[in-house]
Amino acid sequence: MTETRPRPIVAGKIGATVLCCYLVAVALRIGGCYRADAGGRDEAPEAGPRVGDMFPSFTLPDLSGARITLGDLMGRPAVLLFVPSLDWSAPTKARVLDLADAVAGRRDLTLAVVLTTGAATPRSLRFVREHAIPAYVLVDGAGLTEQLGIAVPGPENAPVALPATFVLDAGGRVVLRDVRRDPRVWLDPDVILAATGLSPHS
Amino acid sequence: MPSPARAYVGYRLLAATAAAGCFLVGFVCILAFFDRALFQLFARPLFATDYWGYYIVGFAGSALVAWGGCLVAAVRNPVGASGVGTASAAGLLLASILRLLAWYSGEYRLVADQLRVEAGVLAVVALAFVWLKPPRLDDDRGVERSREDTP
Repeated sequence: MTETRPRPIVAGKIGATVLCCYLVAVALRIGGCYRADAGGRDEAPEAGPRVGDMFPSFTLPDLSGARITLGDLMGRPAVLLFVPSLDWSAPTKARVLDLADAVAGRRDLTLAVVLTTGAATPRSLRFVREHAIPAYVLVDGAGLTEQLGIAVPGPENAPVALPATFVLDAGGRVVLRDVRRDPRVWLDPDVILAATGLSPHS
Repeated sequence: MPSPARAYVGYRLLAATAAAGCFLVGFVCILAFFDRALFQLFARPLFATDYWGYYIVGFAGSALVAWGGCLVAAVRNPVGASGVGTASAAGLLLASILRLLAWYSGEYRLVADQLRVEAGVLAVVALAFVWLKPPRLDDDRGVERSREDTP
């Protein structure tokens, strides 16, 4: 009578164990995958206004269609965040959420996120609405990104912006610039707030 | 040879703890759904979501309670319900992968470390289920154990 039958369960256990160990290792190490960085970088020194220069004037539409000018951002410190995409770039989403969290509720600072027309996809706009990003979200169809020299070819060769941060004083003068080529490491929001001269906590 | 009551004591403890967690979280989810849909007793909603989100929360709560019931069956009869351990390990692995993908998406930046910790803990619990669970019934040792457990 053969009512019992050994089963090859060890292979399954070993496979599951390898997968579990891999997941634990990823959970421990994934923090370094993309992150904020306290050190400023300038990986495109030829591009954009220098520290101390006036930021070039612009007129760009926001999501509601209202036309926002540089003058609308002046009168208090402003942070202009150029982003490659809020659609396919996961680290860029994390970067924007990081900064949005740091400036949430502040009335002494203006935040503007600039996307090129090609990057302003429905998914990008949905991200902005769902997370209620406290910022002007400007769609650059006027060539500001190219004018600053921070445009690179994106998917389907549509120009997208390099990950760049410009901090302006109340008069529109650049007090900090940070231009990167790799979106996985971005400038720490505390460094940005320190550059504005405002206290970290409103 | 250990007595039936002492057999797979580690597995039973693990299943009992997991069952308690399932019941706790499950009932909170169900409570949140009922509060939002019917009573609105809490000054603030338990979850920051809309009515469809609460619908899913209520469904997830029901599933967790059902899972907890299965784990109780595994505590009572580890060998007879050894498949519960396999299913639990698979579910926990899936939940761990899901959390890591959520971390990677960038959309959950503000709770990123919580997701990483949860993913790691779930993977470790899955590992415990994999190694502590009894052999299946049609395994030699499993049949012996099952016979021991049968009154």
